[in-house]
Amino acid sequence: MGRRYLSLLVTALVTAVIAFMAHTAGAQSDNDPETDDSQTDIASDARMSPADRLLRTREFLVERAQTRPRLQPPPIGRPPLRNDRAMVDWDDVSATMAETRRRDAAGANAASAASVPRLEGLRALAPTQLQRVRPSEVDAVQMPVLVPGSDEILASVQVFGQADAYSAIADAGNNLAFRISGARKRLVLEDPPAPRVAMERMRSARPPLPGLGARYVITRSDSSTDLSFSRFGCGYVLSLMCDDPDGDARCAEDDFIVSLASSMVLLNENAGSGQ
Amino acid sequence: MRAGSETQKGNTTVNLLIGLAIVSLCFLAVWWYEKQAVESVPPQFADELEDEGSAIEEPDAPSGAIPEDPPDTLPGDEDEDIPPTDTPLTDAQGDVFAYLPVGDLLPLSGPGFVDDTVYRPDIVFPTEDRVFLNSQVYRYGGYQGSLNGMEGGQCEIANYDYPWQDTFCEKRSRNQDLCPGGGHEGLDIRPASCTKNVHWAVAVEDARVIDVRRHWVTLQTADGTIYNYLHLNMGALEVALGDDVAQGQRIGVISNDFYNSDGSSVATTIHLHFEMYENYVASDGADPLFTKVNPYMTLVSAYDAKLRE
Repeated sequence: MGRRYLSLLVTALVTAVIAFMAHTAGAQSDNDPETDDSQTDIASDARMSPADRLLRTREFLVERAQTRPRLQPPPIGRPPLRNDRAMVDWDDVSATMAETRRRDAAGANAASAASVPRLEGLRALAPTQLQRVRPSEVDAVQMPVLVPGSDEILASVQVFGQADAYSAIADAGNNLAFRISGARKRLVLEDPPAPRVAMERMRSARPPLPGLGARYVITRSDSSTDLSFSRFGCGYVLSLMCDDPDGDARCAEDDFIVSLASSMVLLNENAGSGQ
Repeated sequence: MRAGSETQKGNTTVNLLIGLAIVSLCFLAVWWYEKQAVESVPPQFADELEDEGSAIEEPDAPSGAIPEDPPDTLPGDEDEDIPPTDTPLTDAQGDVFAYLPVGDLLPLSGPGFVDDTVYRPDIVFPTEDRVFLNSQVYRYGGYQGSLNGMEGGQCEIANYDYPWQDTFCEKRSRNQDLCPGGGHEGLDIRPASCTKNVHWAVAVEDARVIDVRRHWVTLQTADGTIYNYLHLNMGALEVALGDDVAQGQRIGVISNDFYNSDGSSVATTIHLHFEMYENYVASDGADPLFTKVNPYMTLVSAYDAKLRE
């Protein structure tokens, strides 16, 4: 009996000590202003009164606020190293188009042209064939002007060209706005921030776009769904703006934007001549 | 009798010990529950935070919920006898310009995106008047303002004060790889006052107007950088599609225009949502990536320059 009491006593005491220590540690963590555990903040926030939340927020703002001296101000942030103008690989453009022609010919031999679905790849299209494109806008651009070969986009696309950049916009039908932009110049960043390095890893992990062979990354925000890729030395970004970006599969899922990026037409096939 | 007494004493001791153990277990249970509550909040934040309502409060609604405190004293504005070399930069109204570090979002408002790159050191600030960069969703007038005790209308005076705060990767309904738990890939700029259609947005650089639809105006510079201006008064723009604009040229007035493709309106606060796309390489020889970038430090730099004019 005595052993039983002793055993129970020891068990109870040990349990009590552990419980007390755990509770004390938890309380200290909650009260420690230096704690960096944001999840603790979140959990404790649910128990705060509105006045306490406001007080905490005001303290948060005041503690972190920085000012700028009027005289002899130190530099702000980090500028990019430089802004480079990339060499466009026009030979690669020609080779990619030749490959598409070869595959198209093989597909046409396999079945009648009417039954062959449009294949992925890069094809040429003269701007004069597009109702809303001014050829002079395309002629001004000294990089490959790519536009998705979707019939709906080609029917309404407009191009705004500059020497080292261009953009094309279109209404892709059914409450969907579309834009593609390209740039030949690129900023060279020094020691890019970690999220940018992570994006590069995301791109490397993707399979290449069918037809173009370019790796890509898709990002989504409350204003657009973007697919970014680089090809022929230039950077491109396709943007889709949906009314309901979460409910519209064209913005919420990858398939539609990937299919657009995989069926490009080149509007300035001859721009590389003599370069 | 003695045996009975001892038995009774023994039972009492057992009962006391069992009671002590139960109390201890209760302590442990409470501690465990609190620990689980903390750990069960996912990085995307608790669902309960999502369910606190979605309607943006009416503009100009008086708050009344939180007593108005005098403005907080910010570093540098409390001492008039400091040497001239330490005088902090002030705006046209004499208020000290203060800002929080990049990526330092309001509590409970998202992961942020720490990027101190000043992508375009030579731009001008995109507004003519002074402005306040801060959240439209997690402050007064936003549907999540209560999370930080900021219950009230968007015109609450505290919304129109420094310090600025980053809102890139602020949490929205959308989760995506760039902003885990976030989804706001721009910065929200509150104009100088809570009056729409009076504060001008201007072109940050010489550029071409390459998109004007619904509630956005998009510019592209000669070297490719893209700037998106959202929620201007789209019926009173100073530019048209295809125009060349000069740095500092007026584009339109800041409003709360927000439209679906069928022309129906979506509620939002009076602000300029500003986005920036940059074509960049992480190192020489790498493939470029043309994506949205965080313009926060670029805007801090431009505002600093503006206040020194």
